[in-house]
Amino acid sequence: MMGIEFILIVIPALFAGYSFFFRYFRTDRIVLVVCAVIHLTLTMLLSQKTVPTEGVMFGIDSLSFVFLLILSVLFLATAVYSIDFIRQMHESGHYNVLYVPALLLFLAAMTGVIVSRNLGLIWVFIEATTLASATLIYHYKTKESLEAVWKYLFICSIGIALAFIAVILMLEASRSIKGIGLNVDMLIKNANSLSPLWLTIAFVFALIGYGTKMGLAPMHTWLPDAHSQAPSPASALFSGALLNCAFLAILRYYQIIVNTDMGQFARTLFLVLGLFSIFLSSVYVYRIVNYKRKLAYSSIEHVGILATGIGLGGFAIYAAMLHAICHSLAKHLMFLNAGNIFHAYKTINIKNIHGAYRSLPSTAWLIMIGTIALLGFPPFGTFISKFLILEQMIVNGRWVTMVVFILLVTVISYGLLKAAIQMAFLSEKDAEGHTVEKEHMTTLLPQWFFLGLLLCLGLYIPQWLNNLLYNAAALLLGKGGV
Amino acid sequence: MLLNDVAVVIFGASLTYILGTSRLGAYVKILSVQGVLLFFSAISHAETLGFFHSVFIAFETLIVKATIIPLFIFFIIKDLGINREVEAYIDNFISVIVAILIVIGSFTVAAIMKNVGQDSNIDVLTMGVSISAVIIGLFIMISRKKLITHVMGYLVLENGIFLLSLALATDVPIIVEMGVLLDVFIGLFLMGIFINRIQSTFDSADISELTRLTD
Repeated sequence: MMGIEFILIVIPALFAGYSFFFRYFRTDRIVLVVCAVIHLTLTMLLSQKTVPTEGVMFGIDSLSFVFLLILSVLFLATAVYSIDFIRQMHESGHYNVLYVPALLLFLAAMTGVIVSRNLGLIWVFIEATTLASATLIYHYKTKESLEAVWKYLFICSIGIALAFIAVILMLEASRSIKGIGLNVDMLIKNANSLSPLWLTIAFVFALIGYGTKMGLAPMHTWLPDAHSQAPSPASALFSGALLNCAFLAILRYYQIIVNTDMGQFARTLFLVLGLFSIFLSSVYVYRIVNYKRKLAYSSIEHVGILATGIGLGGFAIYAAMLHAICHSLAKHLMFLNAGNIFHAYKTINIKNIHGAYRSLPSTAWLIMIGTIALLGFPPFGTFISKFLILEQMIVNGRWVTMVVFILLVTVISYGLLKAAIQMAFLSEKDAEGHTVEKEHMTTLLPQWFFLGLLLCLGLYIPQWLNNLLYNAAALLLGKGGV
Repeated sequence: MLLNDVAVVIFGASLTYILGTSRLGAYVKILSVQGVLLFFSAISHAETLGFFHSVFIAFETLIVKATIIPLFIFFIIKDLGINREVEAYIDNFISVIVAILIVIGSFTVAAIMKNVGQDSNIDVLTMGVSISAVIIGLFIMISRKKLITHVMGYLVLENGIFLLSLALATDVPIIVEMGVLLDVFIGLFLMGIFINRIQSTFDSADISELTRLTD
């Protein structure tokens, strides 16, 4: 049976094939946007059937619909932004013909991760995302990007190998039940009949294996390199969508284990890794001068917040779902801004960028407001999600965790805000002739749109989204949930 | 299951040997031998695998793991003129000690899992050796300097996972095939190409060259 889910995977792959064989930059731009629009339309069609039939290969539940929605919207923004990006690349003679095919295959693979309902299949698609994104990281073909792609492939391939052990162990855990295979729904339904020992070990392997891909410290080492070397529209997708896909892969295992007695153990692991990621990010983020690396470390922080939210359980799971959406939007728009800066200044080093408001007025404002949205100040959506996580800490009586969390997040906020203010508005006295650069509309529109969405989410969450997030959180609540 | 046991024991011995030797050529030969050993381990499961899967896995082990990949690595070493020395950060003697400790630890873990899990399906020998292979693969990656040895460390890890899947998942043969083939094929090819480029972009295929991007 060919469901919409299956078509969602195939269409980007077909477009990728087309783009790969024709290699013409004008059609490439159209292909990208058309594919993004089709993807978003089909995603919207799926919104009505968020309860998968049991035992299907591809299907959507509320949880995966949240991530599919994020992916689809972000990809559209990347596609629109790429219109001008591809033109710039073409004019400067550095256009890499593999950019569009790789981006589309990347989309297909990520969609595959999200809509698969089989642990083995999820693993295959995660592998595919690694291969597709490697091409994107090697886009500029410099020594640095070569180093970044080598580290990325190597570290992630080890992570994926460990995740494969998780798949094998999960098979062993379900051995006593006939014909259950690796189907997520069946595994959840029979969670209590699974062998608890094997299930726990499988979960640990999945957490470490996919955690590598997700960027949880201490397995994050590839992340700043890869994010800083990929072209900005692609690194925006890495932060906004790829990390979420890996997160979803972990959540699939979590969904199973949370229905058993081992749920508390899994939550503790999430909490420890999450807080460690936030801590690590706070150590590094202030002193880094490469702005995209700074944003990458901020991604590690937010991944940590997501893990913390899951680890706290209860209402924080809802908050984590909301945070996944808000962080993706905010981080995506910040990376696109970084792309504008890079295009104008030919550098991304913070020390060389001052007072961007003179030459790039729109981008400067976007960076300023975007940073505020990213850091979770009111009235943006990130504020709500972070606040709800803090609230859950109070409800659970984790006062020490709360103080540590607030301190670390404040340190990170300081580092990012300072950089943003300096880049956007702090001008040197002897600022040389500042020409106002032409900012193409398509390189600004996605960011303003996302800021608008973040503002909406901060002021009012529509009913359907609220229900969606509740249903998604309910899937992760399990039996030990508060 | 005598065939399986003998193959697995020799596989385990090859793991300690690989950490004791300092010649790159010996690494490649061991990888080839491990491929053949995996084949013997696999055909001892032929009844549960069925004909087609058996043929496929035989192809995978004998042709891919034991022939193509080692030949390709030999080709890369020769073509790029890589120094025949392994160049470890750690002395060989200590490496062997570490290998022995890893094997002992893995067998202990395997035995504990069999007892705690009350799982009669577990074969402590295969399980122990495969866990050792995974850890020793990781150890090779962190303790050796050359990029090509990292790839070989990854292959040892892969072989360990293959053995593990043979021990645990032979009743779902698609899993056995799915994982390793995709990983080895694409991973190695990509890495091989990248090593080629690294060789020409950097001055040597040495991990200490990969230090431009730091914080």
